[in-house]
Amino acid sequence: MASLEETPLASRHRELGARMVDFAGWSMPVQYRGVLAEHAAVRESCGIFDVGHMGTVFVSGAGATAFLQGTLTNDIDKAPAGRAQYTMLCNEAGGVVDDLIVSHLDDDEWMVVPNASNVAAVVSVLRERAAAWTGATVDVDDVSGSWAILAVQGPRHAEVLAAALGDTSVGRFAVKRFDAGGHTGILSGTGYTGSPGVEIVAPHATIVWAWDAMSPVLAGVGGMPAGLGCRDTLRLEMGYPLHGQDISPTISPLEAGLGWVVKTAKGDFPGRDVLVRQEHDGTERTLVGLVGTDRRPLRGHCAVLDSDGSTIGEVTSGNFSPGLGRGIGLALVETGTTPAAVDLRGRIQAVEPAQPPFVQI
Amino acid sequence: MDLPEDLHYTQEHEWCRIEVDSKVRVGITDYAQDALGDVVYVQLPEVGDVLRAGGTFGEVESTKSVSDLWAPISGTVAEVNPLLQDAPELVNSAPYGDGWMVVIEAADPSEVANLLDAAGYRAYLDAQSE
Repeated sequence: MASLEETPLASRHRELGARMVDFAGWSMPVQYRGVLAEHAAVRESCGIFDVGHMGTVFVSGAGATAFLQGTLTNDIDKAPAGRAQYTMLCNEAGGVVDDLIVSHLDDDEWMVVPNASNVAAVVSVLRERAAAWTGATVDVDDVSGSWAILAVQGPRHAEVLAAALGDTSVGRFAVKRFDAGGHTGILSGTGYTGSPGVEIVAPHATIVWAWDAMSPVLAGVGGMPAGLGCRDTLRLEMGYPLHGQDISPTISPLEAGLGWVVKTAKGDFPGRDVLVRQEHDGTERTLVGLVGTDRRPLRGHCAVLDSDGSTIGEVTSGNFSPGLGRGIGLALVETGTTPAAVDLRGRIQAVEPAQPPFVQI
Repeated sequence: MDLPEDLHYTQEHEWCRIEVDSKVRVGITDYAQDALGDVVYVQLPEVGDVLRAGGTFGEVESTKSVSDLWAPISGTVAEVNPLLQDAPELVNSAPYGDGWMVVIEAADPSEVANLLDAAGYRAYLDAQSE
């Protein structure tokens, strides 16, 4: 087996006794103290996540904005300098290569953050399209090997962040560069938890410095380091899709209810023809939210049944919601059907359809 | 790792406490609860259900996985832990106490001889981790 990649915080995780798992070829902390304690810390105080396995790619040059407008699904003109935007890179079949946050740093400079397992695919598409691009200059610079990301999430994140960055802050989906005594990087008002928070995107040395500067304050506000385990329960409570499960190269954003990030009127981009057709005709499958009747976690790949017991689809993500005290899930089902139950390894568990978010923050 | 000396153990990471009148209290070990992570749901049998040694009698679910519960001895379910429906976290906080799963009325108390003692279970765990 090839050895796993490590983020610059690997030694910190070992010192904290984190349980490490292989995630997309990276050794990552799945939990420190426990998934439920970390989930609660993010909802009630603050959690810091090492998400250094995600990619960092700069797209710059006089043609960068037009290039991204013609490559991604959302309308990038709605993101002036200083704003971040949720968007998709689709394939020609309308499936999702990756869902992305793009941040508009300066007039001709953008930052693209792909999921860990999709960095190579996204960079490859961007480079191929940049090479064929006939407009003004576009430069694609993948710095994923030397940059990392910290997510500081929860209602008390500002106090924790201040320990590293002083009074520097950003609003939701705002983005700015910071320079804290020579430690430079990018601060973004984004996250994947549903709780208020920020993400620090920076070179390795700045990430380690920021972790060390924030850690003592984190404990002081009742927060704690948070692992990928609670990142999944937090995002699922919000109904945020996970690429590879709820969206994928064979699941379109319209099937997943993400039509709000697909702007077909803006002009051409990969997958547009299929997505225009889906907008007009509808989709055969629809991603829906499910809530169980008790605590039993819903699980991915379990069959979804209608009230007649016929299979109408499959759970794409499932778990236990600490906020609801019930099992929850996302499921891809035939459009127009109504889920009534899921088959959990032979046990028929009643469920009700629900529009995410499953909890109110 | 807490492994009380007065209990019997299985390779499926369950413990048994011999009580009065052929009754055997069963739960999962400290090792098992730690490996599972936060337990959020426990599926238990009904009182009166007949269990066969080595057969499954329920499931323990954490935020990350599901594990079957395996009957350490044959017999009839005499009690199920009523606390676990609403407080499955007791399996993590008190695996040998309030986190117990069932009490089995043993059909053949001599089956207890097939179980491991604490030293035997510890040796088994050590062998697994090598």
